[in-house]
Amino acid sequence: MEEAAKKELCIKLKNFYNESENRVKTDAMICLAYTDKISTETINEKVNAQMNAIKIGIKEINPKFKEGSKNYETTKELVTETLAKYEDALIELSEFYDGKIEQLILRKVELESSLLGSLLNEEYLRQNHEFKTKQKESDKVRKSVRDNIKSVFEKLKTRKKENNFDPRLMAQLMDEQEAEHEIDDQITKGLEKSNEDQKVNKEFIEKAEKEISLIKAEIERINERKRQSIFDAMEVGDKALVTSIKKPKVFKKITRFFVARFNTAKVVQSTIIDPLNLRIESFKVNELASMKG
Amino acid sequence: MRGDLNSKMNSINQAFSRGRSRFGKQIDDIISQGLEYEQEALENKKVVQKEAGIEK
Repeated sequence: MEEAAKKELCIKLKNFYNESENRVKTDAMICLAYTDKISTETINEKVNAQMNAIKIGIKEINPKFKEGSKNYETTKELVTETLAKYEDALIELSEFYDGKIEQLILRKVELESSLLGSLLNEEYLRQNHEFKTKQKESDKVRKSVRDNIKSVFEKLKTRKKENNFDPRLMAQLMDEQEAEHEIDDQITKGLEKSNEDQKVNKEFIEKAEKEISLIKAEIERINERKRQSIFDAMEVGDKALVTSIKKPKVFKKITRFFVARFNTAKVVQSTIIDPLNLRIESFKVNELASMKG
Repeated sequence: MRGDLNSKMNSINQAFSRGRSRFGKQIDDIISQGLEYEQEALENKKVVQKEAGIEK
């Protein structure tokens, strides 16, 4: 390739490489942040719903239970502690999915990096092929051999007219023709090799692009599965988010008089906190453990 | 974002390097030559600008 054209091409490809490297890495960070955002938002939504359910449950047990009530602070601490465990279990669940997504993102980065190399190669091979094609037409050695053939042929024609055939000229003509064929062969082989390289490179580009597109779709699928899995985790019955906790039957007919005499904190613990803790433990021991294998 | 940001960035850099290791010598050479030529062009530009400044 000509020096100036080669310089221009190298600078162009180097700039393309730098821009693409930044884009690939930034995309990966954005994808990781997006995955994290989905986890955080879904977990917050779920924890808030659970907190509301606890508040409603407490209100149903004793509507007057508030700041300043007996054991209010203890109950508040207990609820906070349980909700923290609840959130931790959900975080652990999301991390299981996010770990898988992270591996896919890294695989995508690896493929995109390889793809970048192939795209650079494609451009290089394309320009090299163009150059070789032009070279075939304007190759200096080939041109000089052709000129020689022409000149020897002219000499032979003249000798023939003069009836003065020179076998050395005939031998020279044959040698020159052979040399021309050899040069043609070399250039053609170079072009064929260039074609083959382009073909192999193109096949890799197609393969990598296909895999990248499959990875993108898989990341979307896992993120959606994660959202659903977080919503479904530690739920009871119809798997809907717990928005209300029914007051135990025994307290349904409680009067204001009786409410004041019951230890609300204990009732909250036994009817709301303990069952929730059991659900958290059961979820960790069963679902979460079997997921992690 | 949860987790150590630096460690995430490191993992991304490593993944990129794994892919880059398959570039082959030809592309590596092109990139490093591109850098050299670019620096050379920058130096030339500086010289031209300096000369133009002197002329002014």
